Amino acid sequence: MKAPLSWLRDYVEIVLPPEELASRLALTGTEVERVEPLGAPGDDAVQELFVVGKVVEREKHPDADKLSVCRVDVGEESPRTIVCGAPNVAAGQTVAVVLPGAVLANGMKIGEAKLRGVKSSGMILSGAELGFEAKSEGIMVLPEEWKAGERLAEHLPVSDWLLDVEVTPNRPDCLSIKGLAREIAAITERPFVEGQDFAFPVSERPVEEDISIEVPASDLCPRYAARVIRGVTVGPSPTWLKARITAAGMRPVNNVVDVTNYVMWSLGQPLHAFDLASVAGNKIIVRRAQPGEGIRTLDDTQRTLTDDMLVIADAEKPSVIAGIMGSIDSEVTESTTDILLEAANFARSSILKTESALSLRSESSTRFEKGLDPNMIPPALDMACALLTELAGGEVSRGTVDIQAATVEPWQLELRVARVSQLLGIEVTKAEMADILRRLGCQVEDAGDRLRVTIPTFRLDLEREIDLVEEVVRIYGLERLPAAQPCRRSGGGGLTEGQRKVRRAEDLLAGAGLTQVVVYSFIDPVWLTALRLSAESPEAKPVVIRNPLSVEQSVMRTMLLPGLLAVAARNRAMREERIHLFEVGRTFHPERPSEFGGGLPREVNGLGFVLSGPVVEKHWEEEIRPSDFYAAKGLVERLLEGLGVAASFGRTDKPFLHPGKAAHVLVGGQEVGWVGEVHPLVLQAFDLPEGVVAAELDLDVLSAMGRSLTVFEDLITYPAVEQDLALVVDQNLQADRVLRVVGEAGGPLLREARVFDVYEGPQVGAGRRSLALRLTFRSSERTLSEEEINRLRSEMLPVLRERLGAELRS
Amino acid sequence: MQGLTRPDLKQIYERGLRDFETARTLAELEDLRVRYLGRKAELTNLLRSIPELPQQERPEVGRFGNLVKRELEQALESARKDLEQAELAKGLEKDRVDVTLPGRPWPLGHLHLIEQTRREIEDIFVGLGYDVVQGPEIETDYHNFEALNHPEDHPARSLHDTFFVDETILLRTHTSPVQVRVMEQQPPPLYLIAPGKTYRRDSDATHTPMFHQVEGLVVDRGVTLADLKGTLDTFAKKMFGEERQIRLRPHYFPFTEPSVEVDVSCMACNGQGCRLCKRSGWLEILGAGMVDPNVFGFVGIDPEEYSGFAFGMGVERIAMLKYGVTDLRLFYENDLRFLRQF
Ligand SMILES: [Zn+2]
Repeated sequence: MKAPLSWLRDYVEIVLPPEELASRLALTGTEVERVEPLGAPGDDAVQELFVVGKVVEREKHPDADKLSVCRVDVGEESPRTIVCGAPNVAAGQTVAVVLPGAVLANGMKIGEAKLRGVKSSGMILSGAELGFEAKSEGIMVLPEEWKAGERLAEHLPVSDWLLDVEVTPNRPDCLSIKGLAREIAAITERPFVEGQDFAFPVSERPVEEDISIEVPASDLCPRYAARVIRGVTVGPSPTWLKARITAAGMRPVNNVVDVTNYVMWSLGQPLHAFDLASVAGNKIIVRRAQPGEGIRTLDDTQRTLTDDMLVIADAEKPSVIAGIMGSIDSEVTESTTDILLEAANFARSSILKTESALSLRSESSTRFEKGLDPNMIPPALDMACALLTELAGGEVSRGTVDIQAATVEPWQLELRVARVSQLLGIEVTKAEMADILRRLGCQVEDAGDRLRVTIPTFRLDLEREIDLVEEVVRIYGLERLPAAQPCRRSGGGGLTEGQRKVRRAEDLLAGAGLTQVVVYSFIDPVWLTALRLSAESPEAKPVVIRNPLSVEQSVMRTMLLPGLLAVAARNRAMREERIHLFEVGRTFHPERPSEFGGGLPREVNGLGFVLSGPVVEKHWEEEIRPSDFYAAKGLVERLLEGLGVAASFGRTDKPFLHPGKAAHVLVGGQEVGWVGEVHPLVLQAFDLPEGVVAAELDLDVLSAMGRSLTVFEDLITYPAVEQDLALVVDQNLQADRVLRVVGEAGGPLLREARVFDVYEGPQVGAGRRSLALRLTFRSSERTLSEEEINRLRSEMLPVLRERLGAELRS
Repeated sequence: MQGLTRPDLKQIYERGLRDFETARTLAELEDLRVRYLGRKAELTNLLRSIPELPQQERPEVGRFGNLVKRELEQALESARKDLEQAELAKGLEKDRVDVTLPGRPWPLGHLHLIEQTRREIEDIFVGLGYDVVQGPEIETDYHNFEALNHPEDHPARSLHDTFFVDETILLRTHTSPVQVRVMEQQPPPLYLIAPGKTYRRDSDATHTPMFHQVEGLVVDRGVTLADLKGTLDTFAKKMFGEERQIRLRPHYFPFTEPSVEVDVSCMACNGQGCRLCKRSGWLEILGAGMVDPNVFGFVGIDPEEYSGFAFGMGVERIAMLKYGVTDLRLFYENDLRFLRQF
């Protein structure tokens, strides 16, 4: 909301410099977006150079068709010679003159100048040159009664300051010059001037003869009032009005429209002026639209209405979308003579719904949507009638049509004095509280340990005691609040074990050279197809967003993989070679119930990674090793070991993985994820080269299952003994089966068996391979002897031969 | 072999010591060892001839001879060590690498800047005795809006601003619903923060449709607005530096009252006014306030017995201010050139 200081001064004396005022407003809850000078820059001395002048004589310039040479009386001993280019300049006019030495709003410097041989000592001003309108046709012609030589600033805001404030939605009263001035009065401790009495000529003709009004939709329109003014002359507004309308950021239209806008800006009550001649049947009906009814609004757009929208209609058709925008054909025009002036109060929720349904907002609807005080209506109508009859002539018909479903009277609240310090942590005296509330327009009565506060109806936001506490601290000053801290008397905080494990998982992966990414939770449904998921699989049935910003962000991810692949592809396009990425984030599963209930989908905290390119960057001394299946699996093993989780791996089928290089990860018999090489067709779809490996794990399960406490075991007193064992087995026999059987055959003293070499080739024969195992034997009661281990080992061999077909490699 | 005397042995001894000292290489030293201590060496022969000496001389000469032999052996050993060390040093001297060439890569990964910042925030509040809690990202309208005192027709509840899954289920627009969930389930005292992802239907240079917030909530007996101010002052100093100040400006949020916006003194210009802070010297970092009694009403906490404060901050905003990141969208482009900087 734009507020020129000169306008605010109608209601309050402003003593602070503009920047200081802005900062005081900001610190009391009215954000000031900008403070800027308006009009001609400069101090008071410069303002002296803007004066009222009288054109004594006008002659054509001898050498230029379009220029006039004027003799202008500016209150000096003799008139000045001023050359003027405006077509409308004429002798006898009262005009605005700027003398040499001044600077205009647009930065133009005024000096003594020769124009085609004629010396000009000053300039006659147009409205645009003072910032009163966007564009001027000619010079400003001022009222005759202004005297030559008077300072222009006494009549017009030659130089001004503009505050552009952002008003919070709970304070629609501040969406007006008057309301803002009241706020300034309260925070700067200056008196607030309630405003003028409005007088206007009233005819004998009762308003009921001009118009009849019905409000069948009184639930959406608690108050509807109107007056009629007959015999007006529509024309341009005077300079002062244009100046204010322009400064407020609106466009001057004509005196009638400008007055309605002026009153809205001054008081906060939107008005609507109808051309009475266009109101069919001289009848106004405030009703819901009929389904399919249409209206062509002022912005020249045809709009179709629905039956939950409120309209102002005449006997035949709707002519205004109530509180939002009028139709183009009920607009006041040059030929309008009789005006119906509407001031109403509309239910905010209805305005909000209609605005949103039509994507249409206006200065008036942004006020109604916040809820307005219905008691603003009579003064707003009075002000408008007074201004209109003054500027456009005419007479106001006797009486006001005023239909109210209910009246709003000031209400009372109690403020407990002790409650304020209890909530704020600072002592504010009862007298200070009372003073603050009075400055804000409340009536305050001392009732001992409490204040009895009567709330004015323009403060609809003050409904409860807590609202008054807020008002007190807001004006008292948050900067005066001490900085304390709450005192926790029991319990203590900290990360949970699960939270620490998630951090550990992230650190393990970052420590292994992976970089964490954060991807949007909503994805393109095409990505799920690209993963080759069957339509029946749960991963292919995501949570769907009803109103996505785009189809690319329209479903909630069921897996981390597609997002990771997309990020990998993007980085590859940037010529990155080694792309090792991980993400920790949620996936969403509508088929599984949430632990939070309420019909919500299950959210799983997952961990995923992708590896593409070499395991480590190229080094001048080293061969490049690609990130292959075993690189990914090794990383999963590292992660699980770091989290203290014992897991096993087995072959698995996943449509998005290479069928020969894919494993599921089992923890305690439960599948907690997978690791594998991504299927070439999936990689193709994501624009990635072959050989990308990935994994995805359920972090919720891992952080719940992982070892939380490591209990000491003495591995030093009775040291372990290691022995190697090379077994030749069938090529297709999986290593984990061999290890399982070895483990069983080795008995309790065999603590670990690990594959450290694999050989296939002529030495072991076709269809066979050799697995070199390192066996670790250890007893916790004694040091094992060489003979004992040799015996254990030789006892294993027949078992391995029988169960695995394994031969000892010679 | 006649006439073996101590002077003979002494001569051998002195000559040996001198020769050992002057040996230049291990090979030379080996030759000397053979010459002085070998099986055919003079000293060996002399010692071997001791039995041929007269009975009374034997012990004396024997003792002296063996002494010479031991001394020479020791001198030889020490000369060998010296030569060996010198030769090793010479070899090492030749075995040089260009120490300015790069080492073998041990890859260093990176936590995303959002995660790093979130941890910093968490750690500060954990240090102040807070718990860290989580809630669902897909929320009910009740928890996200209604129980947070948003009226039915609040603009944020529209399809224009909020992502909906169905009539009553939506993507949470802030982390504040976690407040409600915790208060529904746990009695005060509550000291917690709730970090997480949030979603709003907005996408331009300064808005991403997904972003991260950290919610804070304290509910206890006697909690005041001054407590909120001190808590956030501590946070600002720990996050942005001890010299930082905060200021509170009144504001409006549906679920707190009084509500405030919190600014921190600009770290770029130290509050003097610069382009970052738009000449004001202050940067807005979060919104906060005292828990509205209506919210306590929804969760069944007596506002006469307990009071509390809540705050919410944008993780991206904090990270941008702290690390000088100039474009919000960088966080979600996941360009490795950006991620590897941190
Ligand atoms: Zn700054």
